[in-house]
Amino acid sequence: MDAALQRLKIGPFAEDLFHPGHNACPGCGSTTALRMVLNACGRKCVFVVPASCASLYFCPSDTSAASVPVIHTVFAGAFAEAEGIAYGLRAQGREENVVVWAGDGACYDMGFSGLSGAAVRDADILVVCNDNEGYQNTGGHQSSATPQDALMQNGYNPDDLVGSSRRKDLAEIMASHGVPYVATASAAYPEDLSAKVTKAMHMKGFRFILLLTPCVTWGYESRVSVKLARLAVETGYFPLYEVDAGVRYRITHEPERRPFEEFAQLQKRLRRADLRIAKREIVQKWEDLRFKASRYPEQFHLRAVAG
Amino acid sequence: MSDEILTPEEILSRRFVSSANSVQIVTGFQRYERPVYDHDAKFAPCRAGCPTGHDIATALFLLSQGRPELAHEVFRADSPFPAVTGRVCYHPCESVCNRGSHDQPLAINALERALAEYGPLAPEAPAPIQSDKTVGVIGAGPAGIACAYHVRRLGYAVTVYEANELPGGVLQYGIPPYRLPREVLARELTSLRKVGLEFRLGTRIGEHIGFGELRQKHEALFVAVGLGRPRALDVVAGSMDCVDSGVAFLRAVSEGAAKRVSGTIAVIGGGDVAVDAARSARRLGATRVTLCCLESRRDMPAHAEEVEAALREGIEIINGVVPTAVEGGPAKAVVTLARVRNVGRRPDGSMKWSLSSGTLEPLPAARVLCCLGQEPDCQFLPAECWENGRVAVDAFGQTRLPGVFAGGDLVGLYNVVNALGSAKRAVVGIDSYLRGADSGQALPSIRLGDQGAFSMEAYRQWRAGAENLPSATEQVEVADINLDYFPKAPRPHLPRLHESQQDGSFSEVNLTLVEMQALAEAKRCFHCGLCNMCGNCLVFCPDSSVLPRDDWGFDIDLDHCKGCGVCVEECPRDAMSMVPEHEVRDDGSDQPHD
Amino acid sequence: MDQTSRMINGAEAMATAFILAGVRIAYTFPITPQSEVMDYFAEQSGFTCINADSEYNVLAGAEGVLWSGQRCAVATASQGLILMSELMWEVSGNRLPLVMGVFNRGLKGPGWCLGSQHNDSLFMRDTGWLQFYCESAQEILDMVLIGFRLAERIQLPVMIAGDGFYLSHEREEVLVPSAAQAETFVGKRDASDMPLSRPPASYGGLVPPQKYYALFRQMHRDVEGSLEVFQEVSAEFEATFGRRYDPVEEADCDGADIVLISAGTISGTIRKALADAGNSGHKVGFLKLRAFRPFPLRQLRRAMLKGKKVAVLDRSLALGVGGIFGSELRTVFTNQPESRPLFSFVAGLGGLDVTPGMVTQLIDYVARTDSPPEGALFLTEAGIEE
Repeated sequence: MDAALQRLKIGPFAEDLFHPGHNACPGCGSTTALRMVLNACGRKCVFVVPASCASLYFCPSDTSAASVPVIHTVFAGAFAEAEGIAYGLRAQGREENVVVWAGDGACYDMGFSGLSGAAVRDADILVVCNDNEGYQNTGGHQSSATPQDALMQNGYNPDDLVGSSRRKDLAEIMASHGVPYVATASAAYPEDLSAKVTKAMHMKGFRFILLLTPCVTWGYESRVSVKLARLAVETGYFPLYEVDAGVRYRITHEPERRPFEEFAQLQKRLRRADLRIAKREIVQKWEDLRFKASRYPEQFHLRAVAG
Repeated sequence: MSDEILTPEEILSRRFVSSANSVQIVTGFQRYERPVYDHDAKFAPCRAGCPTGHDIATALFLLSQGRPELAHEVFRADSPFPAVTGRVCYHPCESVCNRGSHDQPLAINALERALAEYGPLAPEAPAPIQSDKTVGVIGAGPAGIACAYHVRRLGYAVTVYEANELPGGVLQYGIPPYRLPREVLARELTSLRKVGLEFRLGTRIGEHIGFGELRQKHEALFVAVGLGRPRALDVVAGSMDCVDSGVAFLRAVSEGAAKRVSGTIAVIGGGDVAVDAARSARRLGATRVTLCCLESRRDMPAHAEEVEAALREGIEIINGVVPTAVEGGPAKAVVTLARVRNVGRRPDGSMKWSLSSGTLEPLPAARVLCCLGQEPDCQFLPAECWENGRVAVDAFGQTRLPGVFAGGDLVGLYNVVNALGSAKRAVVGIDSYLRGADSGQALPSIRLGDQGAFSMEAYRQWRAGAENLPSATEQVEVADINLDYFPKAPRPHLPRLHESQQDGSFSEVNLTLVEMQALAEAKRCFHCGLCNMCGNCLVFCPDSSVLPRDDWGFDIDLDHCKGCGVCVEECPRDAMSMVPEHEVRDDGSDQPHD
Repeated sequence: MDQTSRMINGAEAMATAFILAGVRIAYTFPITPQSEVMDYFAEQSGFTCINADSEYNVLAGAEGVLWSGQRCAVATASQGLILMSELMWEVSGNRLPLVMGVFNRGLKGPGWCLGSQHNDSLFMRDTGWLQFYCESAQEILDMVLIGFRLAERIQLPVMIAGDGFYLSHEREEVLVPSAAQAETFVGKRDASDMPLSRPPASYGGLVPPQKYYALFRQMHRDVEGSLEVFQEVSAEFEATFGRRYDPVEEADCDGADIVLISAGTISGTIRKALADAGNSGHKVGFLKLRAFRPFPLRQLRRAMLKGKKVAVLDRSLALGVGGIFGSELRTVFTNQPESRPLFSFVAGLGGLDVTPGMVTQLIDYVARTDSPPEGALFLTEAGIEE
């Protein structure tokens, strides 16, 4: 290729705000997604990070891997803390977005009340949950985001039939709070993810984006990290959609509905799982989603509903 | 006041603040394999399957980006007239297209035609002459033109000697205008003259100029006179003037001298000449055209698309028969047909069969066109050059006479594109011969696959002395393609003039894809083994370790790449591979280094 | 003087102090006996009250407000304060100058307890938060104002504690400064060290052990050093408002037989008991403990050595050990050439009333006992037991 083709060059980001040198595992799905989110957020923001793998990979060996201020905090406190930062900034007339980068542990479990509280108070924050379906930083422990029957360090023991627990549908829980914006996104669909983050960054009030990010503790070869994120979507397991004001649903990607086995067979943690459970979940979720997405026509206006 | 009011710096020193950039930490040491952009070592199956080695993946990429003229240039690097081959080539590339295993193969042939049409090239100035040695080409058919084209571009003066009044060979005198409009051919020939090809038309070897004279005049010769003598049907009773060779008939059609016909036309033969003759006869007014051939429908040597077109045009095809007699009759001739079995082909190209039981109705015909293949009509080559009725050549077209090369139908090939391929290989032979080099030396650097395709651009670089040329050794298979990035999509319906609108004219039947369609179809191409800067590697790297170059392509930041392999997995088109560290390190180790 | 006399309770005094200091954001959560503080904030116009979902998130939110460079009001008690535990360490570890009001209340424990006990605030004594004990609504108001100046000079958070119900719900005459005066005294927070005023960096991530140790040592030194700063700020406060607040307050300790030490509202009871006793036998000096962190070691030692015996009256209990002030005050004499017999009393747990009569009993006991027992002495209306 030569100079004649210069105009065909790609340039996905204006600048890369995430630096190498961090100590995330090779093939980490979380950092793959974080890089996209951070670059979509831009410089004019502050990140709040509760206890998670991110507490380590944002600041390896006393350096910083991000070109934005990052405030680390305790496991359950990130949401109220971010809210407080936002209040303080707005009182000073500053417009920086406050973004929480939290894992499923903080969102689904320990920080659940804080998350819910911040939502009902319409805290002016964007919460991005990188859900890798467990407490992975400690080696792969069960959370209430873990799929039923997944083999974790603790939890489900197939020989025991004890410890298997359901998982929450956090996107729906947050949508039911009636907050301005809830969305699901995946690093395997960069344009969709960037569009959603950009939209959220231009809104006010409580915004929530749930990402399904594969983790090497799931037991896969590092190279299929993005493939797994894609298969999660294409099997219907992780639908990509957004909800405005808690009522207006829009499915942003139509998956092929590939067999769930394609997703499961690449991971050791689902080796002993009864896949019918997940398949049932998928069917129910999509029935639900289709209904909700059909509820309001394209010309939906908030004012019309209120008045 | 005590000095216990802490300054901001003092406060910061009391907090845990990390402000250094993490880039200073080297994480590349943990790698045991690394990603490599090895697209130079890869080739697409279409390129290997193309006898003349067109870089189809690159050309289609350029076309998909709205640059048909650049795509046209890519084709012109390996052959002289894409506008022609885009019409008459039998596209072996499409049979091996990786996309064919996914949904449908790319309509490469139609796209070649489209890029030539939508990307006309500015006239090319002749390459500077770089040698005082000259080359003579005998025969201005596809092989001869291709040889002259490549040879001239390498900087040799070349003269093409052609017995006919016009150049083109089968392109001019064989293939009917409804397949290859003569304006298209003329345009291409004009463009080729501007490249510096010199034609001596109306010049027959042995009549106007001697072979020995040519050997004196030129340091190397390329003989591509084709097969000028059609085989006769031996069961014809005496000499009947309603019995013609298909070749002569088609020549008349090409010269515009063919007379209208009426009644039934019987065409004997199952190859492209037979089908061309049948379809031409239809257009000249035949009420019924019956094509009788030895082979079964499946085994007919004519191309399937041609046979289908013939059937659409109402031509009747009787397979598995042989004429046992052609005699005079009320409507000029009667052809007696018998069923055959065990049909085969002899080494010299003639057919053999056994008669089977079953009789057919005799076929009355106003004309009988015999299309039974051709033999060479070449007296000037000595006996030692011949074997089994064809000229014997080595891998690079060298005949048994030093400095005399040959190609095309004369050496036993068939089809325009195979002729182009043989001519291109002969150019390597000729150039090596003239430079006193060994043509085999170039092979590792230029070869693509094992069917004789090679890159002319690579050859030019090699002969210019480029060292460490990457050898393309790995064919990209469909298993190497990340199909997740290619939702299934059909190829377009190729537009053509409907039979009801043909109106007995010789207007071109197949039409060019609309430009928008061509771009869309070109986008369906996987671009196997090519880096098209899609950016997946850069976007998906969790360690921000893929860096775009200023011009084209990417580099890996080896200080930080952890070797996770996501980039290689997400490259849709196998432009990257993972390579074990010990294979790329000087010390052959996998051990962590500083 | 711009100060207005008003009859207000401790809750209103606390809320008023925050408002006077110019704070306009509060993170709130209701808990007895602090809830009324929140109510006063909510009434105030131009004041943003964020009603969090738990005290944990109250402190998280307040921390966030501090990170943004603003001030924030926080008040709590008992269960709420303990729930904040994890964040207490983070606020001090990140050197954020938060001021928090606490109305002491007993912990559950065997059951719900609403009355005052100091275990809740004392639970936080190791965290690096500075803490001060108040005996009146006036003191609460004044200490909150002092707290802001102190916190923002030394960059450590400050807790102002007062007995629940006794202070939060009982009215007294309080001299309330004008807003202008208070704002002048407290000043503006210089937040140029905060993340959004600086180039991007990572704050409070994974810290290597050497750095962690170094930061803790620095905090330790700064807590110790805050004593001097407190005294300076107090001097400024006195100059502006005419009221003096020392780390400890001595009364009649010179040549005393017994130096009696306590904190909070018990101080008032002790003074009354001593006044009523007059000169009937024992010479008792009273040492009121105001600053517990920083621990005013030298001032305490000097005063405690003035008497022949020392008695400490705690409204807290470290189970298995004894009163918490008592435990720490024992260390005053460690490795010292001189010491005094120290009697450690515990009374008033769960808000039980401490009467002047009980104080008199205590003094009599100390006077007639030569050697204090090893463990704690429990003082109730019924008497004293070990």
